[in-house]
Amino acid sequence: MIFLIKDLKKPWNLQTGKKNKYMGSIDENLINQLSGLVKLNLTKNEIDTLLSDLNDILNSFSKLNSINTNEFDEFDNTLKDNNQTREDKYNASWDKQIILENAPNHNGDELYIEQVLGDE
Amino acid sequence: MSDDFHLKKITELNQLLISKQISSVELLQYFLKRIEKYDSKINSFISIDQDRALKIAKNADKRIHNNDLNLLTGIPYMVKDNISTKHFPTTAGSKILDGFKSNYDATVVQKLNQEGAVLIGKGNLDEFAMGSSTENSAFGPTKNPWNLNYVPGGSSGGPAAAVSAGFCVFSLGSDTGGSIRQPASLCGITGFKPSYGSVSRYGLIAFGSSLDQIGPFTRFSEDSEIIYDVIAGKDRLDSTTKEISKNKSKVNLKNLTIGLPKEYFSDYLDDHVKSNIMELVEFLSKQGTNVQEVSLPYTDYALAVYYILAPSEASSNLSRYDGVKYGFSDHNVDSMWERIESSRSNGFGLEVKRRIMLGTYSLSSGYYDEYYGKAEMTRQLIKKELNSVFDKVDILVTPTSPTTAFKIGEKISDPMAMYSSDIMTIPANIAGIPGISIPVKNSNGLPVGAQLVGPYFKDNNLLNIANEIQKLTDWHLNAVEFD
Repeated sequence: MIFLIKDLKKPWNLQTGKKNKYMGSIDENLINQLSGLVKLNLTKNEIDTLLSDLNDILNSFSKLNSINTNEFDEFDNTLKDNNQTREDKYNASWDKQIILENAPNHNGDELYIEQVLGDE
Repeated sequence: MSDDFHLKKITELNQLLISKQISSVELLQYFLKRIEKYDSKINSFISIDQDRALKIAKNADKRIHNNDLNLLTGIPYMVKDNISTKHFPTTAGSKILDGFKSNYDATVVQKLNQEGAVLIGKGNLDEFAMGSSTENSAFGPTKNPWNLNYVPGGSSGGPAAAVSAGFCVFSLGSDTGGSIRQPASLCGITGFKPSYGSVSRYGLIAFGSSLDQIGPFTRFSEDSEIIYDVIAGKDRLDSTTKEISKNKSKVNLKNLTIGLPKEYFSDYLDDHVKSNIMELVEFLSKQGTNVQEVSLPYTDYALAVYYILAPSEASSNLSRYDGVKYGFSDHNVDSMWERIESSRSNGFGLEVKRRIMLGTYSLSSGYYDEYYGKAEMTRQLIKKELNSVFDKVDILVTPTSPTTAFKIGEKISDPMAMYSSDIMTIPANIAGIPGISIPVKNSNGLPVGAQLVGPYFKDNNLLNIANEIQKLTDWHLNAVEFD
């Protein structure tokens, strides 16, 4: 059977009656670590919402662990037939003016970006 | 001559243009008038450029006059605003791309422009195509033309609502987990997701690169085939694309075997949706189509696989938005690192943040094997199961969505309920196979869509089956009437 919407939020495995493995596996510390990695400064409200949502979501996904996938290799790309390589040929790039127009800041032929290396 | 041009097929409009019963400029003005009158209530467009569209329409009229035309010359259309266009801003429905204008047109837009189609503007969407209701847009929600208190579905809600409301003849959307088929179903029109690799994504703002696909919204499936024939094919700028077979075999519904996957018709399916889909099945049965029940038990896991893999890919794809190179940049802070953090925090909406966090977690050391690795292997299992079912049947017939459109605000604070809207459409993205949603009978004034799913790269065959069904039925002719 496909996921029942009403079952998705249950913290217990419906077959065994046991608590799902991942219930509560994300805590505020982990949220803070992850948000630091992805450069997001979350508000207290956002942290509370994500804490609850991510645990619910991951909890419901723990059912994947009941499937036997031994015949498959996790590094086997399902789309390998699609990836068509081609000879690397030089092609003229865009007009300089078009690129400069889309830059955050420019002066004449020079493109200005934020300072990357500095005092820090 | 009836002036309901928004209810006509592309071939009919083409004949009217050739016979000079209407000009391309007049056709465009007809649609612009409808947009002006009704779109303030629906909010399907993010941007419109009337002057530019008029210029293209005038050029189309010259081509028609010189007999240098094809089926799409002078036909007005819209593209979802995550498809890059040189002459319009491309926002992806996000504040973080504020002020961004692409340097180039996406390959699909280039191809349509070469045909002489008239681009009116860009369509609203859930931010970065993440959502199932078009409520997560920095430009406000799009409303369902059938009932303004309801969502149009998502993430391509703007392009779906625009065709449904008669603001353009066709539109382009993108489908990562059902974002063309689900809104097509909820808005009562045809929406087609081609096979992965048949249409170039060059210029599509990346969300889940192993799943994303561009496809058309139309009132008639034969119009979807016309659009598909133009936009499909190998593109050296998208290494996943391949040449498509131009070989079109005629379909006879009598010689067809359809599969009804029993897992898609379980108790949770809305009763009215189920009975209206079964009306289509009974109709096919009367035509002599062989109907078989099939079982796809691993479909049960598709939602989990998708919501691990797609956010994982998104967390990587969206790392490029840093407030440094282009788009929104918060200048109220001093250092570069503060600016990156502040621009991303203020530029992204909550759903995008949720998926970045979920994807980063799934890819993190210590969790990778249990989430991303497991999901990748389960994806192979689902793909194998779906591919083998086509040894027994020609296509699958399922509901497109478990329910009709839901009320605005009903699911916005419950991500799992929202994600479950895609439960019927996700398997086709996981396997990379084509799927189309076509309207069946409405339920309580809201549209219901049936999904036809076919084998990999048999896109034209799937479209031909949809065409045959629409030749013999009239559910797709049921259109929104305003006033």
